[in-house]
Formats: sequence, C-alpha cells, structure tokens
Amino acid sequence: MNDLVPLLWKLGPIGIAVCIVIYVFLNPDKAEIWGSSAWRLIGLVFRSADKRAVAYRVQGEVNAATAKLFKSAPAGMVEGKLKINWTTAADLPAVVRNGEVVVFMQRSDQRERNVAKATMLYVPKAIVPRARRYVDPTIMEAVDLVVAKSILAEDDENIGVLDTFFRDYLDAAMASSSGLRERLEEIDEIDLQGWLTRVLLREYLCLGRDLYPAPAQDSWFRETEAFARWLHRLATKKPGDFGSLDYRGPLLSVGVVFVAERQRLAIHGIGIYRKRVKRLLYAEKLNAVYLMGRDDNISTVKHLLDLLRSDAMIASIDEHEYGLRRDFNARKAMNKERAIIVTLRRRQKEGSPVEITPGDDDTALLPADTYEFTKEEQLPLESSLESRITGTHPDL
Amino acid sequence: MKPTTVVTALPDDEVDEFLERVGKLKAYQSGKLTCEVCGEPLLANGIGACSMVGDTIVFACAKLNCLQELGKRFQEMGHE
Repeated sequence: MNDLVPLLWKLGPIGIAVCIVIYVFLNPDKAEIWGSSAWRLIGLVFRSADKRAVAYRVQGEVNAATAKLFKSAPAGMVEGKLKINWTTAADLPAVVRNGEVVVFMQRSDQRERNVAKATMLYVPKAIVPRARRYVDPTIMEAVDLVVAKSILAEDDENIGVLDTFFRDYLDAAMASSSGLRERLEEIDEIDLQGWLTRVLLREYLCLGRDLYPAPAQDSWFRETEAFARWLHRLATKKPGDFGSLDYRGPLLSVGVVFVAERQRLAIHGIGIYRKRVKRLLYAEKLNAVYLMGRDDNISTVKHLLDLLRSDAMIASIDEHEYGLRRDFNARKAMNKERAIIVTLRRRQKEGSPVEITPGDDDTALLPADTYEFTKEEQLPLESSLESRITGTHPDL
Repeated sequence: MKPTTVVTALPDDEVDEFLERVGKLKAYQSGKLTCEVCGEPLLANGIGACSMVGDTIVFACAKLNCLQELGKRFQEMGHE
C-alpha cells in the first residue's frame, strides 16, 4: 500500500483514470460491486439509486463467483450472467402472467439476503439449462444446492447468509428422509474432489447436446443417477478398495485414469498409463477418458497428455488445473493443494480417420480393469496390478 | 450480444401496492395469505417470490427452500 500512493501520484489523474478503465474492462463483475457502493450512498437520498445498488451488488457477487466456479467450462454449461431486471407493482401482474417468477428484493443494506434469493433463482435457470431436463430431478436439485452453496461461500463476507442457507435449506434437507439427503452428500463429495463442474456436469452437458429437444425418459433419469453414484463411489474410494474405473451406459461411457502411483511409475514408466488410455479409447470405445492427478503428479499428467496430444482418435482435449476446496484436507486427512483433470473426448466413428480394432495395437495386451466394488471378490493378479487402489501412496 | 439469465425483481417498498392491486393486502396483513410451499403465513417470514399457476398468483415465503421450490415447480411446468 505504501508503494501504491507514490505510484498513483506519478500517474496523475489521467493515468489513474486509464488504470480504472482497464480494471473495469478486465473485471466487470468486481466493477459492479464497486459501483454498487457508490449507488448505495446516492440511494440514501434517491430510492431509484438504491435499487441500482442492489442490482449491481447482486449481479457482481453472483457473476464473479460463478465465473470462478465455472472457469474454463465449455459453452452451454452456464447460460449467461445474472441480470436483475426491476419491475413495478403496476407491471408485476402482467409480468407473472407472462410466465416469470418474480423475487422480492430488500434494500441494499440487506445485501446477504438479496444475494441468496437471487442465487436460488439464478442457479436452476442458468446451470446446464438444456441438459437438466434429462437428469434425475433429485440429482439435479442436489447439484443446484451444492452450486448455490459454492457461490455463496465464495465471499467471506457471506458468513451470515451461509448460516441462513444452511438453516433454511441444507439442514432441513439433511434431516429429511427423502433421497435428497443422500444425493446431497454424494454430490458434495464429488464437488470436494473438484469433479462436479469438471466431470459430472460436463458429461450431463454432452448428454443434453445429444438428446435435446427430445422429451425426457425415465431410463435417462436412471442412467444419470447411476453415473452420479459411480462417480461418488470413485470420489470416496478408500485404500484397498476395488472399483470400476469406467462407467458404461447406453448414453454415457467414461473412463478414469488416476496418475498416482509413484511405485508403478518407477517400475513401468509412463507408458503403462498411455497404453491404458489408448485401450479405453480404441478398444473399449469410451466417449471420454479423464486423466487425474494431484500436486506432484500434475507434471506427470501433463507429460502423459503430451504423449497423447497427436492421437488421431482424440477429438478434443480440455485441461484444468485447479486448487482443491478449502475443506478437502480436513475431510480427507491429506495435505494436498492442487489437482489436474484432463478430458480426452473420443472422435466419433463418422469423423474418425482410422478405425482400429483391439488387435491392432499392443493395448489389447493389457488386462481389463473393470471391477465391482467388492473387497471379497478375488481378482486376477494382473488385474489387481492394473486397478487396485493401493494404500501405499499418499494420494490414495 | 452475450446471453444473460434474467431474474425479475420487485423492490420491497412496492410490495404493499402490488398486494393491494391483486386484492391480497388484507389477507397478507391479517396473516391469512400463506406460502404456497410450506403453508406458513407470509407475514411471519416475509414474501420471497411470486409466480402465476393457472389463473392464480401464488407466493413463496422468504425462506430459501421455499423460494427454490417455487422456482423449481415453475420450471417443471415448462416455463424456461
């Protein structure tokens, strides 16, 4: 701060103005929050200015948090920024007749309540809007609540509203006997790993693109629920557990490759992971393969990605390196900071320049690695080498 | 132009005027106007949102779960 004052003095009023314009251009959501403070002061005299202060503050907070949560999300996952449109008592009857839900906002000094109300209506409208009709409704409700909680938790000043959020909704949902309680726990565990926006919603988004505008079917609800449960089991795996590292359904087919075991890397090199990815894409024909790693393994995942980048079967690559949720280490009893997820989406048959069968390359020599989550099940030695989640590595 | 998701809002100082216009002010003030979701009088928690179901204007109280439930029901009716 001491360095800032002389710097501003040197810049002069024009320089400062230019800096502000650049900042506003680069951070429109933060600028709205700043602007709301000015409008709030004016709002002490003029009511219309207070309304503007409320709108700017709510939009700024929700949009900044959403942008952070859905950073690098593909197009269509979030349907645009929140925009507060004010209506009047005279116009409201016509507005609701026109098919709107109208939220009742308080003055700008009730910032937390206003942000929470807007968030509760914004999230179900904006997050995977086309795909959500094909997702099990309880799963989707749980997703909305976890996303809303994450938006509200982004700002440390929102402690009060988070308390309200827990009291009004989460605690009530957790105490109820409905399936929402279980789904909430599952989705929160998935989010804890950073997989909610980067895996679950990403796959739902693809599903929505494929199915829209068909009417929803019960079998699709069941599949989206089964997919979420599989991902949850993967997210809560414990040392020594066996489990399926891929999900295969009529609509979704996904494989996961954890780059985690240093011992295996030391013995076999990175080639064993590359072969597994190739097999999942070529022989197993999964639609997407996710490469995952944390902290020290992030560089290995990137190295693996470099080896795969030019593969003809890969239609698209998305790479996300991110900080783990602040409660991750406490809940998982670990000491981790960052993680990486790389999505490799398989080229569809029509666009594929080559059609490779399992026998065409050495990936066919690798053992299968799809198991049920039963410890009692006796697995072949080779298979267990491939897929056992060992307790020797600090990551797992 | 970038897409936006619009949330329509009414300032709280216009609530009474709106309720008067739709003939619900007396019911609200006497505690007879209830939340469509939890059934509690709106006077207790305040009004959170309103929408139209059929020909009737319905209200949700300011509890977040009621607000969210009203929005959800509304979407299930196909208003997206």
